[in-house]
Amino acid sequence: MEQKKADDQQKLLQNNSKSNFTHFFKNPVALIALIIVLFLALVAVAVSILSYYGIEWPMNPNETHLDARLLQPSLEHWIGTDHLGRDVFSRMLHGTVISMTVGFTAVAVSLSIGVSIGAVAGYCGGKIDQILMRSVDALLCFPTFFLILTAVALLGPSLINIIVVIGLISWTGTARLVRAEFLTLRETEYVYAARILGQRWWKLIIRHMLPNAAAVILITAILGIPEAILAEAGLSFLGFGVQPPQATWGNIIADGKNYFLDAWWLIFFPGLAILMTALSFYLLGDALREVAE
Amino acid sequence: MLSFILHRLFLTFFLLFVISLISFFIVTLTPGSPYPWGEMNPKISPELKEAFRKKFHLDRPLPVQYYLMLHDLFTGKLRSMKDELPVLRKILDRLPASLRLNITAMLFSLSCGTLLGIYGARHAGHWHDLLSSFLAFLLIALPGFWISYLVVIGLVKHVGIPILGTQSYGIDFPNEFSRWLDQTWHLILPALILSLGALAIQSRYLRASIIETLREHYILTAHAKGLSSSAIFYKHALRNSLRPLITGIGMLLPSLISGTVIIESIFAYPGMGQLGYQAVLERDYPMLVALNFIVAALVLIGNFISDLLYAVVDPRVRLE
Amino acid sequence: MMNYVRSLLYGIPLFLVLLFVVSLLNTASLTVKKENEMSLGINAEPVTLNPIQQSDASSALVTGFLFNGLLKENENLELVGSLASEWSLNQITTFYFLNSLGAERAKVILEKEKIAHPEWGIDTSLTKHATQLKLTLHEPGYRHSESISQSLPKESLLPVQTVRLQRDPKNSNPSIFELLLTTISEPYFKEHLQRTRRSDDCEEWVFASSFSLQNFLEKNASHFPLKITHQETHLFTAEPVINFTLRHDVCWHDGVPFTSADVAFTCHAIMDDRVASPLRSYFELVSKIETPDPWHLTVHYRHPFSPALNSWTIPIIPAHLLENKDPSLWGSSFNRHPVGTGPFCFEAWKSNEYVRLKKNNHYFLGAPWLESIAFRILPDPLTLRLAFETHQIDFWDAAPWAIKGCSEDRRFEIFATPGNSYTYVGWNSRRPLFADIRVRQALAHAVNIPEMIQYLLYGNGVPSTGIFTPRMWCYNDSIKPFSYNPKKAAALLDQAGWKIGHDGIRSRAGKRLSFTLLTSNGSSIGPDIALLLQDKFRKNGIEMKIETYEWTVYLKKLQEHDFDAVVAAWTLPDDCDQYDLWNSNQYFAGGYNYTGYNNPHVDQLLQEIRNEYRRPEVISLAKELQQTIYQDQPYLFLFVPKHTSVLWKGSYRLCYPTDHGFVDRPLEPCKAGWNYNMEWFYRKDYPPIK
Repeated sequence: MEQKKADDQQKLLQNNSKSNFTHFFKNPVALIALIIVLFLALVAVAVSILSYYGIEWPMNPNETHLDARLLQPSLEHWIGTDHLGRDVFSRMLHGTVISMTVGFTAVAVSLSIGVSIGAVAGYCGGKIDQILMRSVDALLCFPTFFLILTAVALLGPSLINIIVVIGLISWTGTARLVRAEFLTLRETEYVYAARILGQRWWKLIIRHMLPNAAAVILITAILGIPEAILAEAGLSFLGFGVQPPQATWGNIIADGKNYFLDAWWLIFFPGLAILMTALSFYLLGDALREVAE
Repeated sequence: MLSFILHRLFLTFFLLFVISLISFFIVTLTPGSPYPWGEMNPKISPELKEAFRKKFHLDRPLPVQYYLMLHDLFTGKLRSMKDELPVLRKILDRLPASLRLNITAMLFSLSCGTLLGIYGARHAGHWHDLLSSFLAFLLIALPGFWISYLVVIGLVKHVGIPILGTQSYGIDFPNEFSRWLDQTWHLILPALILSLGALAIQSRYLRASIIETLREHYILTAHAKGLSSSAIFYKHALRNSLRPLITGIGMLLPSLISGTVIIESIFAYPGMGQLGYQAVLERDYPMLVALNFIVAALVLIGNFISDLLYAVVDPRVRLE
Repeated sequence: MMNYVRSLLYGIPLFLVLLFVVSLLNTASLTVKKENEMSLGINAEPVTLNPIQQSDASSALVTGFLFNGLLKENENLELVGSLASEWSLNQITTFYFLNSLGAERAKVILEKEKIAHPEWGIDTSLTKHATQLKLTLHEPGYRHSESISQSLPKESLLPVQTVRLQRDPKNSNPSIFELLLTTISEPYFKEHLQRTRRSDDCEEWVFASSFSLQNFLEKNASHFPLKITHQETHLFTAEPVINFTLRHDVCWHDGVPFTSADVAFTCHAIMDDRVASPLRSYFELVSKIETPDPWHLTVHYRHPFSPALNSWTIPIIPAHLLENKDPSLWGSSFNRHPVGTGPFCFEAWKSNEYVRLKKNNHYFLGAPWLESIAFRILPDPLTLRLAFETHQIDFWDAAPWAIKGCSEDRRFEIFATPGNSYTYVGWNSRRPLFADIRVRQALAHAVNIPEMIQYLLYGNGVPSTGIFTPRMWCYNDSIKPFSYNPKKAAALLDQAGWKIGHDGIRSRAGKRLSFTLLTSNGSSIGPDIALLLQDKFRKNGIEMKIETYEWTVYLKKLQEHDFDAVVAAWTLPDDCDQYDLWNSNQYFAGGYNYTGYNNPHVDQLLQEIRNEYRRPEVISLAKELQQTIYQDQPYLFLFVPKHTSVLWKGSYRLCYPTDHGFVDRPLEPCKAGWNYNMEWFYRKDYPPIK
């Protein structure tokens, strides 16, 4: 009977989400966020395809024009030029590719580690929980920034290394939250019932507990993407990002920060891009979460 | 309860040891050499470098180095490779300022985050909620270095209010209170910027948690009993929604070093972030090991407290 | 309970907001007190205020006000006295003879030569063994000694060898050196032997060449794991001597008089392993310091070493405070609370906030005009600039890009003085690609350096034409920099066999002309240079990849010779001794000739410069050296940036004492930089009271 109840609950959830999708499309903020995210993804894909075929639009992001340095935004250079005369708009387009790649892949890495460890710890409890959580504690004890710096120094600065490092370091938060959620879920009646009925533990986790923790996981995932984007920007800002001349939003700011007082556009627009992107992801995630509930 | 605490204490010490070991090996594995002569100085002979290696036991095998370093750390003799000052003294020099900054930031993020979260939860579905959500996400999405630059340039260049350092320089304070206020002013803005992300995250977690709690059966029961909605909210719902907040406290502490590097640098604030960052760049092994150890200790204490609070707030979590 | 929670919930944020507003109003209402203080911004905390242990720019800036050297450089970078009132140079040359008869004969010959060669200024004496003849010459250097040796009877002279022995690092038996000394029983050996310890693992020996140390070591290799790292044969030993007369009127900040013992102590401290002083290489050749009385000092050197005199500009530290203390404990005492002889005394150091100095009323040249100097630590370059623009600091060492904006601003004045560093691209000559001189020269022709200076330095720099910078007295100004000439570059590359391939990149025998340039994110200009080069090289069919590393990793790669090409800069002292940078024996892991440059002619020139004390000769040798190295292009010499500073117009003037009274003048750039004599600056609102 309890098993049935659990299944019922799940069905209820599914029904709910179907009706809520229409609700999602009525939310103008979420819609705008979705459009921005889709647009960014589209830009990223388009830019990488075009540059694969050698087409650079509107300009080559890495070509220096020393006679056109620090130009103000104009019709020719929509966001002006940097200290080496490179077109900032083109660089920002290429930066989009990096930001999107870092955001999605780093979160995929961190989520897969975090959820599995958190779920196992929260479900099993006892010794296993203790061991897993103490190692999470241990990881959390290291200053994150120092860990990232050291890891980048160890592996050498490249896009893949940065993704891996950000992913490997940011899973602890997910793990703890999932574990906390599972600890409470474990005490609920339907999980208890399912266990008595002899459900395999992994089945129980995947079929009954994960969907109930979906809200928490979704929030952390969606929070994770812009977090990874911000982390990459911070790393680039300190000069630990991808190798030049590859443009990222972070290193446009890093290169431009010295010229802030003379060329505000070098910092203002990439910063705004980071802000808008992160904001869109957050809002989108939030709207999706509401749908899931 | 007592055995639980003892158990956790034992674990904490064990973890501290493991962390010190790992951090030592990570630090020494990182490429780069720890000489204090950062510049390419043609006058520094290889023999001198050799003498330096001897002085800091770098010529000994790694396990011996580790032992000597821990030994020196506990006897207070551990010295920075950069200027040969005792590392504990260097850290203690910065710790008060760093703690002030981080505690203020934590105060901001917890209090304002809670307020924002409650506001959102109580008006769930209403446009007030939408606005608070939007605000929260805007705050998380702000790149810290970007907003710091905007604030510093805006205030210092265009308004002309001093903000760099821990207190205004070259000023005779009329009284101690005024000095304290001035120091607070120098503290409050970096702390606010530092707290923005955590603030918003707190508010989101709390909001989600409260909304979830409000759907529980016992809340319905309370409603049925005829309790006023605000009484239910503050007495029952809030208490049971505090779990994410507590997890949050435990997770805030590691930022003591890492989160503050850029903001400290921009606001010229003398905290531990700069110390740690410089030590990483200069490969100052003793400094790094000591910093890691102290931060780890602080974090473990934070975790310990948050675990205890967990048990207090949510009786459903069994103390196993 | 409910109300309690509620009040807390709303109370704390409200309190914080209130605090924010009140503290803002408070700070806004405070007024800055105008003190007679000069404030300077530094971008990093000084490492130590002990001048013999520091190697960072911030520390050097601070200690410059606290300490004095025996000598100092004047506005034109010539040596003048500071703590020393007089000094003179001479040399003790010792000839070794097979027997006392030969020595006697030589002495007679020399007594006659004395009249014929008054410029030698010989003063002869026989040592106790009677087989050695000691001469004191007026001028150090091998030149006179060599000409004297030609007039002596060849057959009775005994050549001597200088050998530097190094212990095998694998064998750590400390008694080996002692053992060597007791085992060898060659008759001449003990008598003629001079032994000087350089460090724990290295000793230098001078002995008669009739004994073959080489053979001896080879025979007993198992007992004596030593290797010879340096060997020279002469007919004599030449020991230069510097005599100093010190000022009588100098006191340390704590009132104790300054004496020659302090100087001797400073030198010993620099050589102490526990101190690990970066100044050490200057004093390794010092064999003996004599202090006959508190105001006289004689320094003996083992070989002629012309940069030696310059080395006495190093700051002197007080013996009475440090002599009986373990140097490893200096860190927390003296190095944080220094006591010097300089125009300013140490007052306070707040970690990562500021260092403050106050004026020394008992300075031997008279008290300075400023009451205090504050060094504010502002790590972020943008913050530093803001602090300057809001009068929080008085001077700002502006980066090139900011100069343009400031020069248009009428509130500021700008000083650009010749810098003492040059920026270059080093080619790893042990890579086959860069072993070909045509390739290196082609690369030099492919780069538009004037354009680089124009756009990266905003005109504040000059093209570099080799290993010296224009402000140095040994600079060769007749060298023409390589012109920007892509056609010539292409021709040279074609000649070397690198032909344009189908992908637009040159290749030879299936290998593409491609290499990696190493830069560091520790420098603001390195990555920019790399990008410009990449652009230019690509247009010439050369593929260059860029790798940016953090500073320590970058250094390690250089030291291990793990690179193709590298962007770097040398900051040079004002003497022209470049032995460590260019001699082929300095190519080893951690050595400074890390590009592996090897030219026997250059090696010889470098040694001659060290041995030569006469200015005109040194200059002509140095010019030849610069010319030779520039033609070889082991580096792609880029530019010499100017040192640019910005200050508020008319805020400071300079009034300094000379032998003829005070000179009061506005600040102006000179060879030593606009901030030469900074201790004598005064604020316009606090004019000096003489």
